[in-house]
Amino acid sequence: MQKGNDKISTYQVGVLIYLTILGVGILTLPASMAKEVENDGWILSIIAGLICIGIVYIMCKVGEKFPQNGFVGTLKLLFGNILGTILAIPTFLYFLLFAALEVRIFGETAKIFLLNRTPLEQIMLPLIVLSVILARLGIEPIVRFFETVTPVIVFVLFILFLIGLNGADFSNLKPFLSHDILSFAKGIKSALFAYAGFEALLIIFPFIKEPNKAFKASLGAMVFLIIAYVITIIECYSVFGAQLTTKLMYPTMSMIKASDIPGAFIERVEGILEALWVLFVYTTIVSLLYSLSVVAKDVIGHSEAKHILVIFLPFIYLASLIGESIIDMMKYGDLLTTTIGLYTIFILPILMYILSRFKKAGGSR
Amino acid sequence: MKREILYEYIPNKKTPISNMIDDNIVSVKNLLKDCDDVVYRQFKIGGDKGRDVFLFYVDGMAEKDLLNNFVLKPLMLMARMVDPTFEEIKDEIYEASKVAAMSVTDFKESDNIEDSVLAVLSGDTAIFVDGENKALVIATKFFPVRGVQEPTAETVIRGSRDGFTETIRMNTALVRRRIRDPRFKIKQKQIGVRSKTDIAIMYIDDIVDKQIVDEVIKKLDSINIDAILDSGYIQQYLEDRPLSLFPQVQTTERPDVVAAAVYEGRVGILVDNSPFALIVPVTLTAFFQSPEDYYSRSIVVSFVRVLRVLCGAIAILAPSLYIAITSFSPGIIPTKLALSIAATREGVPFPAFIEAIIMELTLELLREAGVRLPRPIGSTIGIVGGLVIGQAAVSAGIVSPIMVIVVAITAIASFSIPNYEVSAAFRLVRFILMVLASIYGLYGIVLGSIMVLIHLCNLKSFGVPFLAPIAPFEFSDIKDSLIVRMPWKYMIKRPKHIKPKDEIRQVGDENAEGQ
Repeated sequence: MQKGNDKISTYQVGVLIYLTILGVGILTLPASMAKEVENDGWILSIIAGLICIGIVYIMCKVGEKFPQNGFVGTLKLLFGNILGTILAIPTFLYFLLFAALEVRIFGETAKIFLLNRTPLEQIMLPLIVLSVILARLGIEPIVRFFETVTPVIVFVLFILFLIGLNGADFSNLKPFLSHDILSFAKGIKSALFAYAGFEALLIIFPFIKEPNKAFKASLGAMVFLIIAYVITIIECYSVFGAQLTTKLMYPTMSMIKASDIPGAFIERVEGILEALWVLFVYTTIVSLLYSLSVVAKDVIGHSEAKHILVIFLPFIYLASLIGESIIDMMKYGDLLTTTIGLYTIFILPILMYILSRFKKAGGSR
Repeated sequence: MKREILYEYIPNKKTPISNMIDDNIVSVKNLLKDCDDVVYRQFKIGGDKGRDVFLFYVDGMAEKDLLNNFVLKPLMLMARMVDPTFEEIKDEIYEASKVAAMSVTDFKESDNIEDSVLAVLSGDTAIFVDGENKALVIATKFFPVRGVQEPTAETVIRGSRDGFTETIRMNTALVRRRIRDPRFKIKQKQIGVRSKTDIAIMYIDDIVDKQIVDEVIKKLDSINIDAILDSGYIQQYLEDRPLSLFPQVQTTERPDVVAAAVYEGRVGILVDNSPFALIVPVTLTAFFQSPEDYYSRSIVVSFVRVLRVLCGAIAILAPSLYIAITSFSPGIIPTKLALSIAATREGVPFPAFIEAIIMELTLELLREAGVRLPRPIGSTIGIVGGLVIGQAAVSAGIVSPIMVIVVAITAIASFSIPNYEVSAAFRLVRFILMVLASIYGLYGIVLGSIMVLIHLCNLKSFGVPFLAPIAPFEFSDIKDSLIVRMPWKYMIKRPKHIKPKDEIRQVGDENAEGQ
């Protein structure tokens, strides 16, 4: 076998970031946005997206300065060996819990829309096992997998948007900008975490073939994401109205359920879309688990990322079972994002950026 | 523990040819004891007082006419009639016969018994001359061969009709006829401790990625088996993952396919006694392409390629979708259809999964029986299978008519995939998906597809990712891929994913690329 199984191109970086972010978030996003600012949800989403692009820029700057060190390596370089390792541990926990949360939310939706009588554990377990299998194989097979499913995902999104148009009444969107800055500022938190996932960029930097083009690729991915989110939110609002959207658990799915396609062979698309949604979730989980394995590898000082995931498989499974019901789990999800989520996605990159300004250009290890 | 092949006649052991012809005769006859198909002939050059000459060949593998007219006749008869007479050049008779006497084009010299015996066993004739420690080996290979015929497994409507045969020389000639380039190399090897099968490695020196050739040679050299009977043996040694469902080496019966592959920077491998050539590296897209694609008009071909991908999807998914929809989510299809399916399934005593497994296994049985049966009886299988089993099974209420339709469509779809090995792989994937669909419904199908896709993403054929050019995505290679084929005018570059040394295929208008 030939070596060099660990370099990814600029296009692949974009695909990776896009599919990592796109997960279960889009299913609940319209509801959480409507809860915060009602009709202005889509504007909030754009603002949050722009802020995230800023963070991505900071991450890329740090990454460009220390392209070969890796996430934990850079932390160690900036904060010293011991402090760097300690700072990496919440990140590691974040990846584990976030992946588990993603699995759980998917399991719950699958139970509602697809497999009503199958136990939740049986839905989640194969998904976790399959994710571990792919995440173990290394970055190149992972991005190849992502590239292969990209056409399917684009097709699904396209169908989703097309169906959403059916029965849309755009007058439901009015009035615009009826909220003051304060309520936007309050709502920004949940809007920001709809974009969670781009922190994988921190981890994959050593594998990027052209680190200076990483920002361009991620920017493209972010822009497409903002577009996808905004279209989803706008369509949900125009079908249901913002008031009704707040009452729905999974407004995106309900939107598909509500509209029937005249003259189509397939009568109820939501079943098929939910089945294909596995791909959206799967790519997110794989990416998170891979990040987890890389961080864990560097923290422990083990040479192979492969071996680590098998050890963590039971923990991911157990973490995904936290919470009795979907309400409990949402609360736990909130807790997760406001603490270690906030730390990993925003605080740590900004800290790293500030410190890297003072550090002389990074030498390789 | 390393096992060794217990075989005395190993290539390393060489017995030098002695000056005494009788010694040589004894050692040859010793080696070929009880090989009754070997013919020995002893005679003298230059009458009674001349020198002893001994030749031997394998009956049926050497050309007797050539031996009689152009070897024996000049040496035995004509040598006495011409100047210089035998008496004058008595001592240089070996040189003389080599240079002047025999009117045959191809002969070699050998200085040991084993090599000459090996040559004779390949169809050549060896000649020993008394007093000389070298043997003349004349190329007299002439054995029963099948002529060039139309390949049976890869038929085309438009395109050349010649297919490979069992003779490696004819096969290399068929390819060479299409590549008149001195940089087109045909490297030969012999593999198989006992069988000594000829293997030819073909590539164009300034296009191919040298790493691929080196890897092929490395893998071929590591083979240490007693016999190679078919290219299938070699194929399994070349594959990195021989237990994978998917073939990582392409096989073809058509010289034009090999030539096209070699022009793209791939490596072709021919094996004696096998009409199937091997091509490496290969990607999944290549298995969905027929040679005809490159000869017909591009729009039509692109349509057919889309059709083939669809067929691939149907061949993999149809029965499992049937299971998933009927037993898990009947709400997906229109109510009327769901009702009519339910109505036809009313009398069926089995769950959809068992029903599908019964019919799919029947289909596999029919297919296998159809291949094995002698041709005159073969057609009855169609009647028995299609009419009797299909019709009767429905009337007996074992399966529903919709299931018969699903199976029939699956079968037709899987036959329209150009490559037999890939469609065989798809058949197995189909069964895996059926099992998963019976457990998890649509979710199971997606999980199963993910499983297969993970495997495909991880698969490499000689360093080239199996799913290239889709993953990793290569824009310029999309012009000739799963679903499109641009007209030749626009395909300016060779496929990049094979990493050819020389990427430019034709001098073309750069502006034409985007059109």
